[in-house]
Amino acid sequence: MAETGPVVIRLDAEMQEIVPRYLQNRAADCVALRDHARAATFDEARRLGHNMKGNGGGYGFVEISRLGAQIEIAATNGDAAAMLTLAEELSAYLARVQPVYGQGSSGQIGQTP
Amino acid sequence: MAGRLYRERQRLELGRRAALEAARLKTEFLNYMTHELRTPVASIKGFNRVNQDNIGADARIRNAAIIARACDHMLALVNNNLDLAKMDAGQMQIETRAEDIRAFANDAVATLQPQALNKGLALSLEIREPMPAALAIDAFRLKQVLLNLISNAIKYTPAGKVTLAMSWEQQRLAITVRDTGPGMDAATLERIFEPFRQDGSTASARSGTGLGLAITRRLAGLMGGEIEAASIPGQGSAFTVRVRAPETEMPAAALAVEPVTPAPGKLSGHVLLADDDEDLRALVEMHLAALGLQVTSVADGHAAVEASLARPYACIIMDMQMPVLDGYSAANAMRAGGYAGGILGLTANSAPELLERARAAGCNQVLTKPVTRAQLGVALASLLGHAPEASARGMAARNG
Repeated sequence: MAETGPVVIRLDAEMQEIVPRYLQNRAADCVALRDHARAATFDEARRLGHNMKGNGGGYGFVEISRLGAQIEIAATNGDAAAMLTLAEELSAYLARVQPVYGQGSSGQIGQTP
Repeated sequence: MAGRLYRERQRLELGRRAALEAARLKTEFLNYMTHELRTPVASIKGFNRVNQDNIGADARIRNAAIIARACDHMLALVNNNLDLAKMDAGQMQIETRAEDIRAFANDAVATLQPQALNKGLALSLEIREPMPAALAIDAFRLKQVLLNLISNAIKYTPAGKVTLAMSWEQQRLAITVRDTGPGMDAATLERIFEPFRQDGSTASARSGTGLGLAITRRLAGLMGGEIEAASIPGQGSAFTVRVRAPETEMPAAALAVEPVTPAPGKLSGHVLLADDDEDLRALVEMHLAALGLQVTSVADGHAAVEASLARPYACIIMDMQMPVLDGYSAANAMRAGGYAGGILGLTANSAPELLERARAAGCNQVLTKPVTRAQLGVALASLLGHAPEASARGMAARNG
């Protein structure tokens, strides 16, 4: 059964400036990814996955990096069905994730408690 | 009487078969090792010969990197055998000291996270409470056990996740590495800790020395513990190590020591950042500003080359995979255009040949994403010619 509870990610206070936009952009990626899967535009989908793989962990969202890596692999293989499934997984994760901002300012990545 | 003779004959026959099987495995292993050693030796010899010819500097650097990797592989083979021989001779000592167990576990996961991400696997850490802040362990040997189990799990798992779980009870630390790989049948599971045995059902699985789990089991034994494996074909495997790990306290000095990283705001200069990912740019810009640097950002390699020619940036930070012109070509063009400052490459792909390619193209250093402020700080302090400064806590630890 799929997990449905919130995923709390603890982040440094300074991350509050850039994380909301980051998560909005990932939501937009979900929409774009579905479009790419339907249109079989794999190069652009691979770029989206590659970028997510590179930026997720830096923002504290290791799961986004993981999904990005899988999207990159699916797009490289031209696997539109896998891309659609991963877009749903990303969308479900974004619906559950709850950033909690703390007092620090070291720019370290967050953790799921 | 006849029954006793029959049983004795049976016992001898079983012993004979076991001895023959052991001899067969050793011969097989010697053949395997000879082949394994011959491959890197041939590579070293061949590329060294090519490097003596009149070839370009880039090609020579690439060949040197191949030679270095071949040496690393040979060293791993030799070290594994030495470890096993030392343990067989009873010469390996376990040296325990107080360790921050959470930092220890995080470090192990961080070490192998890029390997997991490259396969699209989730690698996560679960620490069950109560877990003491410090335990008396041999961190070097226990890390060897952990890295071996996690890297095995990553190697054998094509999709899904690998989890490192830790719990502590009655002065013993339990470490479980679970994966969602193909699992093993009962016959394979029974022999998995024997030296020179491998689950050779996949090509990637046959790439090791066949000694990793044998060494892991003996190390667990030396640390006053044991290892067990459970597996369900088609669902995954779990390896659990339990070792003696009494609760202890961290020495006061160790509590205060931090890695030597530049203190916030202590770097200076104007740097160029090139990355096509606007979210990555926003994150790195924030880190650079906090380190005290002024930043100009561009979104592709062509714009980066133009910017580098327009003004003398103290340093250039550049993604290696960008549209229009990638980081490799951009670094080449910058060097050809006379840019002599530091170039720090960023890449989401940790394949050694790509890291080497970035260096050959003109990058002084390469960081694998995700990058932290500390990593950027250390790399930039070196490239900008600043002596790395310790944070206040780190300085206090060394001075006091």
